[in-house]
Amino acid sequence: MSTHKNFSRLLTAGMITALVTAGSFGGEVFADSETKTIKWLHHYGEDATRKWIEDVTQLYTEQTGVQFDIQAVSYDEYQTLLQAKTVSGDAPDLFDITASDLPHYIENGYVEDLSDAEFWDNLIESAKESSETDGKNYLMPFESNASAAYYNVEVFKNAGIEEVPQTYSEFIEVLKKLKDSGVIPIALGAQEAWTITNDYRADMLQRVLAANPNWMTDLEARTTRFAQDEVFIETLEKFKERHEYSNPDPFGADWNKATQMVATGEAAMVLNGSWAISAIQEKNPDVEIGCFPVPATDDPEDTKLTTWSGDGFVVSSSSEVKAEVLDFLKFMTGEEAGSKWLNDAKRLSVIKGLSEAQEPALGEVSRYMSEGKVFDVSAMQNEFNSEYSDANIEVLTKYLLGEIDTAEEAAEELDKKFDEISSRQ
Amino acid sequence: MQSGKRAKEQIWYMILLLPGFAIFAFSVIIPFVSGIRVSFTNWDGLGQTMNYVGLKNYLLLFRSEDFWNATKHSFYFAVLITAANNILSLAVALGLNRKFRGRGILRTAFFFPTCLSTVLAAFIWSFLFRESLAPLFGGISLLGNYKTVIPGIVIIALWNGLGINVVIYLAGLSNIPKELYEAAKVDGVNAWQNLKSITIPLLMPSITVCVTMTLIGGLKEFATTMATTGGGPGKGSEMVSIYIYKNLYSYYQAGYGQAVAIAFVLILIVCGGILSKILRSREVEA
Repeated sequence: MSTHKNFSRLLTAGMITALVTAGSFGGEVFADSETKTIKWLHHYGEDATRKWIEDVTQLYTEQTGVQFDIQAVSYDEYQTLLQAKTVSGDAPDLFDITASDLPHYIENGYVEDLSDAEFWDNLIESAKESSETDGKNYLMPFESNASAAYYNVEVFKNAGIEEVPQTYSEFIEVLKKLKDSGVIPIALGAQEAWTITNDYRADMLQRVLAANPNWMTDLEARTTRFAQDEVFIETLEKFKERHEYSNPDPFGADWNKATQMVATGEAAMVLNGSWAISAIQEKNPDVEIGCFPVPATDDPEDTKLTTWSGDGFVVSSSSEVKAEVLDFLKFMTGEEAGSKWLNDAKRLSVIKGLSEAQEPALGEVSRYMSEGKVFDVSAMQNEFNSEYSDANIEVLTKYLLGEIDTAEEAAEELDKKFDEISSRQ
Repeated sequence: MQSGKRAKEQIWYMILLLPGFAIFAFSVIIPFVSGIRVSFTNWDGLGQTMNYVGLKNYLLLFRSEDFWNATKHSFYFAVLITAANNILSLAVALGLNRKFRGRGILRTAFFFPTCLSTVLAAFIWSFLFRESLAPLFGGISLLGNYKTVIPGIVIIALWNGLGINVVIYLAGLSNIPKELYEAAKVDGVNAWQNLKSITIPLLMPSITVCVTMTLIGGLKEFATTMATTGGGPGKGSEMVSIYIYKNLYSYYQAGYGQAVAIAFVLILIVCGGILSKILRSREVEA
C-alpha cells in the first residue's frame, strides 16, 4: 500500500517537473551545414513593403541558394526584441537601426565596419559621406525620404484649388479654402507620437538647420537654448497655426485613421514622409496623390522639400554569414531590387541610376530633387535622441492641446526638460 | 511511529513543492537580486559591461519630475480602478447571487471580456472611443486629451477585469449562512441594513483579497496603457511601469530604470502592507 503511495507521489513530482520545464526547450532546427541562412529582423508594417521583402529575398535565394529566416514585428516590439537579442548574443545577422541608436551599437562593438563594402558603388555619391561615424561606415543608408504635404488631388480640385501654394500665406489660404469646402484640411494621427515629429519636419527642420546645422547637437549638449531662438519660435507658432486646420481630435486618431481620412476624401492631406503615399493607397488604390513642399516662409525661394536618408541597415559583428549578407545588400541595392522598391513598395531610396518612378507622386518628388528644390538633412543630426525626443513631443503635445499658451513658454519648458535630462547623462 | 510517518509526509511535500519553487527562484528571485545589483550601476541595457555609480540613480529619481508625474498617474489609475471595479463587481455579484432565468447566460456575459487579451481589449476600445462613443463626449475620444485619458483607460481595464472579482465575490457570498438573513428578516431589517450589517462584514475576506489585488494590479498597470496610448498624449498617461520600460529600452538608461523599479517595489510593499492591515482588522467570523 505504501509503495503504491510512494510511487504515485514520485510520478506526480516527475510530471510536475516535466510540465514545468517543457516550455523551456526551444525548437532545435537541425540545419543542413551546407546551406547558409541570413537572419533578418525588421519592423515594416506596410503590405507593399513586406511583399517587396518577400520578392527580393526569394529572387536572391533562387540565384544563390542562400536561405532567409525573416522575423517581422511591430516597431515598439522591435526595439525591445533587438536589444534583448543583442545583449544575449543572439543578434540577427541583418537589421536596421536609427541614426540615434547607432552610436550605442558601435560603442559596444555590435556592428560590422562596412567601409570597404561593394554596395557603395550602387548608391548615390553623398550616401557614404553623410552616414559615416568618425571616418568609418557602420550603416548602409537605404531609404530616402521627403517630408512634404501628400494630398488627395480630387479633394483639392473640388475645393477649387488650381495651384499648390508657394508661400506660407498661400498655404494658409489653401487650408482655409479646403475647410470652406467641407473637408478636414490636414489629417494628423497624433495618437502615434512619431507623426508629430514627421509633421514638423516638413518645414521647421530646414529653417533651424539652415541657421545652424548643429542645432540639435548643440541643444542636447546645452550649448544653445530654445528660448531666444527666434527662428525656432517662429516655426513653432506656424506649427500651431496650421494645426488649427487639422482634425478636431488629433490625439484620438492614429496614423491608420489619418491616412484613411485622406484616402476617402474626408481629409485633404497629411504632412509626413514619402511612405505616406503607399500608406494612403493601401486604403484606396484608386486615389490620386500629389505632393508639395510645405512652404516655410513667405519667400518662395525658401520653399524646399526636406529630404533625408538617416536610418539604414547594419550587419551584426557576431554574424557567421557576413559575406553573404554583404552580397545580399549589394543585390538589394541593385537595379532589379531597387526598381521594385520604387515601383512596388512605392518608396524612395539612395540607389543611383534608377529610371523614373511609375507612381506620379514619387515622380513629383524626384522632380523637385532633380531641380534642386530640396534641403537635405542627411549629414546633420536631424532627430533628437530618444529621451530628448520624448520631451520634445511632450511639450509640442501640450502646446497643441493648449496646456501651454505661447511658443515662448513652450521654448522655456523645452529648455527646462532638456536641462534635466542632460544633468542625468 | 506517528512522528516518523509525519516526517516522511513532510519530505514528500518538499519534493512536490520543489519544481514550483525552482521556477519561482529562477524567474523571480534571481532576476530581482540581479536587478538590485544593476540599479547601482550605469548600465545602458545594451553593453556587456556596467560600472558602479553607488546611489546616484536613486538620488536622480527623487529629483526627477517625470518619475513623480508617473507615480501620480499610477496612483490615480489604481485608486480609480480599485473603487470602480470593486463597487461594480460587488453589485453585479449581488445581482447574480439569486436564482433567475438567464442567470447562466448573464454570468458568462460578464465573464467573457475577461477572457480577451489586454491588447485586443485596447484595440477594440480605441476604436470605440474614436468612432462610436465620440459623439457622447462632444466629438472627441476620451483617450485624446490630458483630463480624460486615464479615466478612459480605467474604463477599458474595468471591462477587461471585472469578471475575476465578480467570481470571487460570488464565491464569498455563497459562504454566508442563509439563516442570518432569515433571522434578520424576522427582525424586520431592510436591504440596506442587510448589506451593511451582514453581507459586508462576512464578505470581508473576499473584499480584502479583491481590493488588495486590484490596487496592487492597478499600481503595476502597463499593458492596457501601452497598447492604447503608449503613455500619451505627451506623457499624459505615462505610468511608472511605462517610465521604467522607456528607460530600459528607449533611453539606454537600464541602471536608472532598474532603480526606479526597485523604488517602486518598495512603495508597493508599503501600500500593500498598510491596506492588508486595515482590511484584515475588519474581518469577522460568521
